[in-house]
Amino acid sequence: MSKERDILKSLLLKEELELLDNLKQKVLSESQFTQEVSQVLTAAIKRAEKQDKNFERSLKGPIQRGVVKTFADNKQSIIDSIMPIMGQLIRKTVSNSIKQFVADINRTLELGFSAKALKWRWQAFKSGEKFADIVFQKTIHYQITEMFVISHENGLLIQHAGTDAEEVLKDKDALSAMLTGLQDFIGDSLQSSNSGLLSIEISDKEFLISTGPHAYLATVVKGSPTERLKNKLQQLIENIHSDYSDLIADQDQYQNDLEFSGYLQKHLITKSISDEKKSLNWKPWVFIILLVIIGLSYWAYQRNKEFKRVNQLTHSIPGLYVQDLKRDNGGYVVSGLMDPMADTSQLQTNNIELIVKPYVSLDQEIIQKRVDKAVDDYKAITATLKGNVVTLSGQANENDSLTLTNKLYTLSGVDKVINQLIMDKTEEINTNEDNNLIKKKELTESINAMKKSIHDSSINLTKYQANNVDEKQKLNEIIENIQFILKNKNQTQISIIGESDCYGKKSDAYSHQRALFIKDIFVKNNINEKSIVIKIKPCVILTSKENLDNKNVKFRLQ
Amino acid sequence: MKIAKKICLIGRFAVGKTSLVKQFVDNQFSEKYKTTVGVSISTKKLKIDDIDLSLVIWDIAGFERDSHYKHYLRGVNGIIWVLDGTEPESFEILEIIEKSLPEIKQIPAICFVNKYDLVKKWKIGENEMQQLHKSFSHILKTSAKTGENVETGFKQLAEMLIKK
Repeated sequence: MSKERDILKSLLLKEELELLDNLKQKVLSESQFTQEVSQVLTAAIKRAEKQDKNFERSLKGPIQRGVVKTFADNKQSIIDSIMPIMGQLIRKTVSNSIKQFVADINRTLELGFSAKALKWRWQAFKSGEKFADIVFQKTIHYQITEMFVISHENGLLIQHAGTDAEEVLKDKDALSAMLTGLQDFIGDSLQSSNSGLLSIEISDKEFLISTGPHAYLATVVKGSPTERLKNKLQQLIENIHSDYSDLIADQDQYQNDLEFSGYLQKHLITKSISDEKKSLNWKPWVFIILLVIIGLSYWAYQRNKEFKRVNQLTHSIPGLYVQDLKRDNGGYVVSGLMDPMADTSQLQTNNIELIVKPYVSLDQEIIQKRVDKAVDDYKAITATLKGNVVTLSGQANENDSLTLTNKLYTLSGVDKVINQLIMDKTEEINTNEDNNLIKKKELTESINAMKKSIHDSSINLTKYQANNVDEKQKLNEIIENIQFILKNKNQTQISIIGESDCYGKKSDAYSHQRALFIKDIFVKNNINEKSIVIKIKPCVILTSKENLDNKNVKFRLQ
Repeated sequence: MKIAKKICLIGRFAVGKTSLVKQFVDNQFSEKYKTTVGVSISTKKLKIDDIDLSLVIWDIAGFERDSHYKHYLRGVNGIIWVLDGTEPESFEILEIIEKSLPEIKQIPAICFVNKYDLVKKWKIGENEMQQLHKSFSHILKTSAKTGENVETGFKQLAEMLIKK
């Protein structure tokens, strides 16, 4: 029965059985099966990739393991395979780094001893930073082309500043929202409210994000921003929060505040693109230069004014003929000719040195002084000068009248003497009439002798102050004589004349002090102060050597 | 005067939010951001009563998955709820979001019942529409495919925001 059934099966299903047998052989034979699969493998992978979403994921594991194992087993062959690519990459990276390094060295060398470099070296010295760091900061260039102040709350643009030519995107509202969305996404992904974008690079531009509590600042920077710039931008958003808090809180004011727009605009850097150029403010320099010019002009004006004043002063002194006037060591030097009678005390108080040769002046004032000096010894005679004519008036004996007239004729500048003196003969009459008068004459002679003695004497102050016995004795004799004369002729006037060695500009002042010193001694010795006149013998020419013998005091009685 | 307002579209996956936005906007970021970041930004400029209004439209994805959309809804000025007339389940989003963010009820909003071009396949009846009217003063039957009522709806919301 079973046999019959098999025969029937073979008759009915012969072809199908042969096909099944054939298939069985293919599946069971590995080489045949591989042959069959290889023919459809590519198409099968493509179809699976399209239709099965998990296809790639399912391949990931075996492929990764396969790659790892391949690397482990065939290191050398892998290295050989990727060497051409890696070699090129490494060479390019190293080459770029060396180029940059060489450029940096060149830049530093170029700057080596320039004014700018010296300034930066000084800055580095002061701040303690490395010079290389300063050079790097100062020479890195960048531009700030756009600024966006964006609300954290809703991503709306609060204010934008930028130049149309440099704007990255025309739709600033969309960009602001997208940046906020990205910030939120990153913050959410990192599970931290503080995390967010710090920067985004787009070709040669970079968005720097500086965050504040309610708004953030997105700055578009072209070039290479420095750490310093980033700090500045952070400071800027903090300032915006403090200065424009009302604006940030009021959505209706967004993009409508011109003042805030201007404020942001000021922070753009479109031309001067380095820190150095940005910080170069020329206004203070102009101010300083102007100040210096004004100062110099004022100084020159004052100097010129002072020179004119001194020039006028020197030319106004009678008996001084100025040939040249020069500035010297803060003072002035006058060279020229000078009459011994000229009064130069004013020049010494004005720090003016004289280098002069003596000459005889015909100035009216000088002639007057000569006449006064000649008449000085004759108390009862008055001389009046008019032009070059001297008129004598008063009372004198014949001898004095003749002597004085002759003396006046010898003076330079005096051409004629008109003698209108009244002859005094009283002395002679009295001599003849009364013997008592003889005594009077003797007294007068005695007084005259004393006067002469006093006139011939001089006290050397250096010796006196050194307690020289002779000098002390001499002064005591003079005082005694003067006391005697005053007792008999109380109208007598005593001139104390201080002298000096003319060594140094203060010589005349010292002469005056010497005379005063002696005056004090006179007053202490009961000589009436009203009878005393202080005079000095002025220095006409200053000497270059000190002479103690000339530091004297002399006396004249009239 | 220039004013910018943030508008968010809320709706389940495949209700047609992105297509509605495409019908209306001037500028749009690439849609790929929606799948990567979870939001796509578009803008539309309108002029209403001498006011230059800039609508910044946030097309948010993933309301079903997690709560990351809350970040994107922060500071929103107006909301467009997008429902699918052919899928009554899309109406559940209203309850889910309002439960999660109760304060959202205070935001000016408008409701789009979308896919009006497939009105014959709509599975919502008068009951559902009446329920919607309790929540919204403005409900529009829209079609992202034909553009029907899309612009009108956006403009109605814009006016609501200006007059607020």
